[in-house]
Amino acid sequence: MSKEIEKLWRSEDYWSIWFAASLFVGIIAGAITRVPKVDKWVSNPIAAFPGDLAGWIAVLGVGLGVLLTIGVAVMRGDWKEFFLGYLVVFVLAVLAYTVANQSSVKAWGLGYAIWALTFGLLIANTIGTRKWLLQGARSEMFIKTGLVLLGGELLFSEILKLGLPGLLVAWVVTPTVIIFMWLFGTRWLKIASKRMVIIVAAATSVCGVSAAIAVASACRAKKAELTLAVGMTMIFTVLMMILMPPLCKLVGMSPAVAGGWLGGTIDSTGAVVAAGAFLGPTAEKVAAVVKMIQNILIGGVAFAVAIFWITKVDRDPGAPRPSLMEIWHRFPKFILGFAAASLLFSFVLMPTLGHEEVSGILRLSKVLRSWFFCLAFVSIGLESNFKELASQMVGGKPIYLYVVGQSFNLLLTLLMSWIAFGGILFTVYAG
Amino acid sequence: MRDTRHRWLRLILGFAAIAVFVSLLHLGSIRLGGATGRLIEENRQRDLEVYAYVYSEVSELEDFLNDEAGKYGRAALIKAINGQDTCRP
Repeated sequence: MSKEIEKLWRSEDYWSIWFAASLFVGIIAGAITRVPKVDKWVSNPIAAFPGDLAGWIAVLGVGLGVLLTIGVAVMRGDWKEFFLGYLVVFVLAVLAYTVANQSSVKAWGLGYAIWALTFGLLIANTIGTRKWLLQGARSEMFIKTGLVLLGGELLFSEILKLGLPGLLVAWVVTPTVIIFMWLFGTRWLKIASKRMVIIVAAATSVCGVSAAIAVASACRAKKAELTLAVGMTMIFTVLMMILMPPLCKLVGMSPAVAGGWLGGTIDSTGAVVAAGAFLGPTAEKVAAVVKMIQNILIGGVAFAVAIFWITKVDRDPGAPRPSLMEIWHRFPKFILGFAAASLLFSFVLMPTLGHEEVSGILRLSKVLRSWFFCLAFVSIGLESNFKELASQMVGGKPIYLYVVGQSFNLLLTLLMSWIAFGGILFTVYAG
Repeated sequence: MRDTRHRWLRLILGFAAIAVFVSLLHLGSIRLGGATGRLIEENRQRDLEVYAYVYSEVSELEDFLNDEAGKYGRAALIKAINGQDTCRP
């Protein structure tokens, strides 16, 4: 029992909750009033840091560093090496954001995650990642803290207001595609890494990078598995963002049906809105709403995967069903922080502080969450090597899984979008 | 020593390759024609507006729902959908 209590201040899982809680408290109490983000630029990267932005970003980097270093010190880590390594990771994260915010790079949907991974991988596979730098590259800690912050953004209370057609498209298709891809990957393709299968399935069916991160943490996947899934997802997202809108135009699809189709299939929210916008305001709105409803599933999917992994996948054949206590011991605790943040914002803060106040808090926490994810991807890159990544490809099976799963997703979502937005079930949406 | 120099050289070449890639992507994008060119140009122009809502992967539900008078509210959504035509140009 005392060991369990000690974990409260010795384990990274719990510290991710404390970090996120400190940041939420800091924002609510008014101590954190601004969270800077790198600006957009066209031809001069200096334009990404107008006025005193560079100074604010430095303050953010050092401030987060101090907070995280306290946690590392309490966890009995080498806090001096961590702080030094973290500062380099943060500088690389700023660099990743700077490249991602170049106007054309952004227009193509090549987000910060892909650049953060690239810079990390480049260093790891050329000069190598030094020990002190590795100490600062605590990808798990960054991911889990980012996920707890993400929990606050998923407001249960708002789901119903979005309407049944969107729910039908997002919530019928998503679990069906996950189950299909799981069976296809494990039974048909016989991919040895079940973690890889579930990460690719979640990234395909829910919302790309965020879902991949959440599920990878829930099933304690290897970093190379997450890297590969995220890389594949981002490349195919760009292709789908470019190819799907002209196809919708070519066949004369109704904007609402097209929007539902785009929103339910393209993996990143930014790309969904961009592709929808190409087809006009109706398609853009429907696409964005469907995507947002789908995004809410991240927490539920991560929770379900964590339980499934403990009770089914990691369980030895013939072993008795794990007790509730064992499930509790092995359950990734940060998911509880994620759920608690969502419940707190949905049912406590929203009714007491009001909508405007909560929106203001989330606007800041969201930028913080993106910084944590960016730090995580730099760290994953720094910890990975190309050989390890290549070994995950196992004859191109993950790509095969993604392509077949995404094709199934495209067909099923088109059908559901036609039923929901084509005037079949809901006449209010008929033209 | 020579090996170390080669490693650093590879790192510098890697960063240079990224800079070249971004430059080519930018120059290619502004000259791109057809549907893809229009899509990318539209994204470039609309980018700030889009990212005001969806800066990160998960959007702001509240902004969508409470912007009833503007672009993303539910009432505006239904109104837009009811007045829809096809996507055909």
